[in-house]
Amino acid sequence: MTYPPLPNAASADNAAEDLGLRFASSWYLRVDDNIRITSYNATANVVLQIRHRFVDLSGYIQASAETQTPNTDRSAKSTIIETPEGWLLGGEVFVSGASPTQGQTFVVVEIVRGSASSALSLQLIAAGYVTTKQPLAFANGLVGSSLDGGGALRVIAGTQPAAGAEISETVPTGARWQLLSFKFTFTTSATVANRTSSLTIDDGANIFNLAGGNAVQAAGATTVQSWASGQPNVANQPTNALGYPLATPLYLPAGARIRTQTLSIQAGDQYSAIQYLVREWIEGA
Amino acid sequence: MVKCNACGGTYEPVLSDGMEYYHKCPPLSVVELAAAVAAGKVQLPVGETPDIAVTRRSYERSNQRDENIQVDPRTGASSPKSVGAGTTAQAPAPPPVIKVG
Repeated sequence: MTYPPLPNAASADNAAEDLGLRFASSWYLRVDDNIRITSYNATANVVLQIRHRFVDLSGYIQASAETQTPNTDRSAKSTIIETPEGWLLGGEVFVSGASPTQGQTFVVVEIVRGSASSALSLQLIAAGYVTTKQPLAFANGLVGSSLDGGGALRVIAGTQPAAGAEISETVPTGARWQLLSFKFTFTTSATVANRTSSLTIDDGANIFNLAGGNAVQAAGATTVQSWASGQPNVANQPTNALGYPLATPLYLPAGARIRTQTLSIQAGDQYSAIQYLVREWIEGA
Repeated sequence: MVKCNACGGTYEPVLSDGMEYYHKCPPLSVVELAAAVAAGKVQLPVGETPDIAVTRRSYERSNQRDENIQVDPRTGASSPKSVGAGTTAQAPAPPPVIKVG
């Protein structure tokens, strides 16, 4: 539609000036200014729908619908939406194709000058997580951090190590975790020795937390052991279930490792059924 | 399900929630470090035994696999930090929930 001209729109220049008075001037875009959408995503099949309204110099209100398929490895994916000269009225980014939760798909919306990958960032107009229930509005929307909110709750099945090897789980590139619970099964071989499993947390090299187990496991036995925030130290003899407390809150940066360290581990000892619960945020790669 | 040819660990590259899993080989265990010392592949500090050594530092495999990504700052392209010795496909693990009847 064309917006009705103002009474003093005697010339094209006046008409543009009148439109400038009518619409929010901070969202005026030159002809070489554009909108850049940058996503950081950890979920498969996510498609971002980007829609906005724009008033060009003739007063015509355009509606635009664009899409972006984000990367799934938390690395940045940018798309530039070219706009004519005029005023951005507003828009939104929402998700289709998948159902990411808070903590899985983070979107940044900026005004940039140019349309190449080297376009100059000029103004941040929105940043936040998008979910199926929560679009991100711009230009007068939320400017949040990817570390805001409750994060995504994930139960992860870890790598089962070879016999005689330890468990080691790594926080992925571009993620931040809060470890809430860690559980595994430990089966000892017939070789006589008393084993004790501990949980070790490091930054990829330097150990900064050690949650020591205190139960002794003899040869030919199987235990299920779990560490969790707020969990008391328990040993249930009939089921061979062992429970230990975990430091809380235990925030872990990308590259940090959660490992077992086993006193008197033998070549035939086997860790299996590794499952853990984390709260995850995107830090971006 | 795949098996890492460097460490022998087995894992699902895509988890049941559809999210990607990034395997990284564990450091050597006491058992593995003792074997490496016996094979002359590594030498421990004088007076240190493998069970002490693994608490003081990480002993990594030279062919270790690290699927976590690194991003080229020039192009923005991502790639695994180290493909290591690769992987071998395995039979899929049974799902965590099985409907019966």
